[in-house]
Amino acid sequence: MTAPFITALEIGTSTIKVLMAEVREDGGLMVAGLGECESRGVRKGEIVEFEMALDAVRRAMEAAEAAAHKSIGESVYLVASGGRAESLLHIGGIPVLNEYEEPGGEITREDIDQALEVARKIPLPDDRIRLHTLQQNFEVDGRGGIVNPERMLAEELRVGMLLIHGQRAVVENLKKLTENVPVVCTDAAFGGFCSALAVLTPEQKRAGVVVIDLGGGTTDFIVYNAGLVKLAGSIAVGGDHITADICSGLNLNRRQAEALKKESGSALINRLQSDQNISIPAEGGFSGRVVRAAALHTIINSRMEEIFKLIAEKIEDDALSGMLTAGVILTGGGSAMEGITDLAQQVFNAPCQVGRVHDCVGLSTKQEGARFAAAIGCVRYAASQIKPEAPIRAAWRTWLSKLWGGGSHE
Amino acid sequence: MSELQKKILVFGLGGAGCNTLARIAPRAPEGMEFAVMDCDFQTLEACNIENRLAVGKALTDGLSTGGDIEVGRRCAENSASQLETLLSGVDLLMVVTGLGGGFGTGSAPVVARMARHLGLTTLFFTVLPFPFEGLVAQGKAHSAVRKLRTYADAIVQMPNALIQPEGDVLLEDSLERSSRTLAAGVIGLWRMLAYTGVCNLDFSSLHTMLSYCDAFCRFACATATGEGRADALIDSLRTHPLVADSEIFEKAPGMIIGITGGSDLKLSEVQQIAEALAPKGEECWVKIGLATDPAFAGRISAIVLAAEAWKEPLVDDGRGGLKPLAGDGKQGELPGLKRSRTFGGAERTIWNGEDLDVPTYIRRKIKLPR
Repeated sequence: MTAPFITALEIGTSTIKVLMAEVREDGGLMVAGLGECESRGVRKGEIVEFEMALDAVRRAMEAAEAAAHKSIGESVYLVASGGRAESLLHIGGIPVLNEYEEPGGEITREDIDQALEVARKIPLPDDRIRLHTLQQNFEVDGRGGIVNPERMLAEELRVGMLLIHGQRAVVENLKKLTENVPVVCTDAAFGGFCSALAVLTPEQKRAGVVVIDLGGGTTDFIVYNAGLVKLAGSIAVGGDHITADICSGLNLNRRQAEALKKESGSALINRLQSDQNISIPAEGGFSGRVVRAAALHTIINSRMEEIFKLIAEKIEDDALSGMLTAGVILTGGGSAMEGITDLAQQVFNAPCQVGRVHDCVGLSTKQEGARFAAAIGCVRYAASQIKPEAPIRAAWRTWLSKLWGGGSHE
Repeated sequence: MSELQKKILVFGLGGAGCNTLARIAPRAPEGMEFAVMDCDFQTLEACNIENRLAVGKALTDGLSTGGDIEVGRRCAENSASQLETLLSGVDLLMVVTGLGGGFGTGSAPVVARMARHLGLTTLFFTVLPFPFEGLVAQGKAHSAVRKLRTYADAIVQMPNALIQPEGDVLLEDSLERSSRTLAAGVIGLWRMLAYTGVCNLDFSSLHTMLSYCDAFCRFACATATGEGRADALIDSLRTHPLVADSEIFEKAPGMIIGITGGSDLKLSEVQQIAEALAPKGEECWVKIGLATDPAFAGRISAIVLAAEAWKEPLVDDGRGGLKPLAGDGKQGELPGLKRSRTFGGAERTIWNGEDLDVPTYIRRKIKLPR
């Protein structure tokens, strides 16, 4: 059997990335082609200028096809970063009856299916779109944390579903864009979820971890605990905001600010460098200037600290802050910022590191950073969606996929 | 009603709402509009209101919610689009519902939220359960009132036990009495707004009252005839069971008095009633509405809506909370303000009321080292 060949498309605010990869049987990825293009017409993960964005997507796809010496084929999986995603936990339950239709009995497969069905029915407002429905553990008569309740005696069976939903208009526009390329968009996955799939190990998921994808226009986050997704969300603030802050704070144009951020930016205010000056080279009509490193770092520090604090507050609100034993994992372009892990460590009071993509070959070291995490994760997500159809261990998998019908957390 | 007049809809929710409206509707003046909504098809079937909304077929299969608030809420939420169609074009929504059960309790906050979203003025007449219905029902009613408070403009609470006639009465009489009290309020208010009187109560006065009243209102109504009818009317208003405490009127920071009489209504009577009932404070907001109706010959009827507290109107902050209204809240935000210029026209990032598109160091007032 040939390994499934999957293309992931990430329409980001700063870059558009296309990743073509094969999924090996053991779950490892072989990257066949990569295409990147500077993004245009996208702001905060939303399309603001359709034609420009479409052009950029086409160019990125061409680049990927050239690298892979292969055609993309007909369908792609979309990474929907941003879209103002939010998560919602919905718990549904059914009373368990015995064979005489009296309360209290053995939980059967039908009971489990029914409870899942009830839990999965979550009404959403019209302007939101469902991205993922992830099943939580079962709760039998108020006792939680049960993975498989079959054949247990109980009066009530409850199960939670974590729904990750985004803004309908944003996601549909992204889909429409891919259809205009023209390719079919098979499915859209939440960017934060994809990043987590790419960088997390099962141990980390069990221990409790938050993955923060620092994108250009949006910051996505997702919290795992006990192996399950517990919280997810997206804030429409990202690297672009830092650049804009530098523009207004230091009176520079956008390009200069972007270059300054990348070369000398730091998320920490380093006392030793506080007297340092950075010179901005002269260019067409603009005579060079000198800016204080301390000012630059203050601007970045205040912005990044705020983003982390907003996420920390969200985690605190859901009483998950004590559960982040495996700490904070950063991905996305923003994770390349100097001092960013130290800042996250301060804010979350938990160990922090930049995520490393595991089980993936074919990326050069430079790219193997956290930048492609979302795209790689998206391929993995797609593979997990396709798997049940594969003939190998079909019966077992179908049974499993039925059991975890809400989608796998892996 | 003429084209210019505002559209008023009386909306019954759940079993109590349907039953009460079924009793009110036959005695309502012509032109008054009613609608009911429930998930129990049997109740709806028995109701004589034509404008019915049967919801939650998928959830309850035409049965009642069985006292489950969540089911009630989801029934209403699932039928959001039908509800929106029903509510669109309405200016004042008077909702009649019993709290403490399943459907009314669960759906009332949804209706309130939707009405707020559509820009309707809402007045909730809520009937609270008898003490014998148990603490659970009381608790449900209490929490529903709290939820309603976020979105409803005004809530009139009517504990069932208070509006019963005295003595050992028949159940039918008791029900009749509750619906009559409600009917008097709903119809009285409607009449004030719909009929052109000598100095009729207009829609905006009611709106002022409802938006400033800090959600909770007391309400009383009475009718009197014959010699000394003004005195009798004042007396029965002051001892109205729902008022409970006659000081309520004196201390009320805001009040609407609506007086309806026949062509024989005298100025002296109006003066007498107004003077006796109007709050004594200097800064009180009082509006008196007068209407004459030939049907009221020889009779005089009055309704009083008194605010319990007065404060700056709160407006929905768009995130399920409320914030004080700054300036004219009815005028929506300018479209330009919602879009950000720096970020190519993408929607502004508003998080907990803060505009995150503005640099953090500016919002936090951090001084940049120069």
